[in-house]
Amino acid sequence: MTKSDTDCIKYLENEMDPSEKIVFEREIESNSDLLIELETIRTIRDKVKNSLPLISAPESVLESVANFSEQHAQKPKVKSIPPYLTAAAAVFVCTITIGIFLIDESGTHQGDVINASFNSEINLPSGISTSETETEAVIPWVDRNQVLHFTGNQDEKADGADPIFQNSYKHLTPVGPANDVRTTQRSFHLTRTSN
Amino acid sequence: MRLKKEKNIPTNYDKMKDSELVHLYRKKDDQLAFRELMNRHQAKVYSYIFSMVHNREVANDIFQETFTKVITKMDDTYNEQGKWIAWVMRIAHNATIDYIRKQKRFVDVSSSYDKESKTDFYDRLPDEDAVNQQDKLEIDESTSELLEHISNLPEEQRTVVMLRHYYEMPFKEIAELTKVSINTALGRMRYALINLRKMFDEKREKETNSV
Repeated sequence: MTKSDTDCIKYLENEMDPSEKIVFEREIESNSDLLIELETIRTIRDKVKNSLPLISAPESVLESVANFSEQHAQKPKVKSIPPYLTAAAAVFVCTITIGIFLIDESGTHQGDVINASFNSEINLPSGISTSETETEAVIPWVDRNQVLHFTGNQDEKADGADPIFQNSYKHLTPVGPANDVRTTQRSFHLTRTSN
Repeated sequence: MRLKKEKNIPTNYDKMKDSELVHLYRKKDDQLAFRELMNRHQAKVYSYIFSMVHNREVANDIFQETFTKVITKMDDTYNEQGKWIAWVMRIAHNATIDYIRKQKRFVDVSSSYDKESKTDFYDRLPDEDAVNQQDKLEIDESTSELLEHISNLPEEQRTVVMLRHYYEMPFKEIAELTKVSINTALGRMRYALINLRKMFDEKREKETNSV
């Protein structure tokens, strides 16, 4: 099918732009065959246009469609969730799940390390439950943040005047030089100067 | 034909555009808006289907199938940017073509071609539908002749003629709907009209010879 074959239809059906129309009309004037084809197609096209009937659907069919529409409207509609909300929900759920998984994993891992070190130090005799051995093996925990470090000279007279203060010394245990304190941010030293 | 009188549609609906009616139906389940839409377009949809299948019962079924899909799919697949009737037409066209292709599967037409009489299987079948069609539609002789010739056109050519005639569908849309280029769609229209012209001429010749 060449372009010129469809020109008559394009012209008759107003599918040409104005410039194409002018060129085609000039061609018709000089080409009698093209004019004959154009008129032939125009005649049959007009016949189709004027004779084809508009047929209405039967009333019963229209009523049944209308009834179906009413029934469909009464059904509860499932509202479709916008895709971006679905994606956001999926990301949220994934984040929560991964978070829980990671926390759980690290907790389990720490537990494993503790158990491993604990078991390596003590050989559990058979028949002894783990809870009993745990109490025996507990090493006193020292909160280094709560340790009070004293440096300098102590005034014996002042100390003797205050028995409560003196008794409190009995509870203090030296743990090493002040430089060993690892967490310096929260520890403090009680010092006394001669000034 | 319009729907029953007791369900008359308010007069202001007549003045509304299709898009406004569609919006009312979709957002507010306004059944009167749907009825107005159907009243406006049902004849064109039905005529197209009927002109393609040439059988009242089948046309009724395809028409119902079309509007059932329109009702159920409107929320999901119809984009309000496009023309509603073009969307409906696409559904009607697909349903019609599906039916025609299903019918074709049962008979191998090429193998049943008779060289002597130059007829195929379909030509030799009694044209009961054409008779029924004349009985029920009460159409004049020239229209009946035209419908008969159109029914003898190849499916592709018939589709283009009907879509153009009943919907004044632009060739660009026809090309998209039938999945061909615009030039092919225009060419099919041209061949359809030339074939119709030949069919009318042949019939005149036969009548002249018989006299």
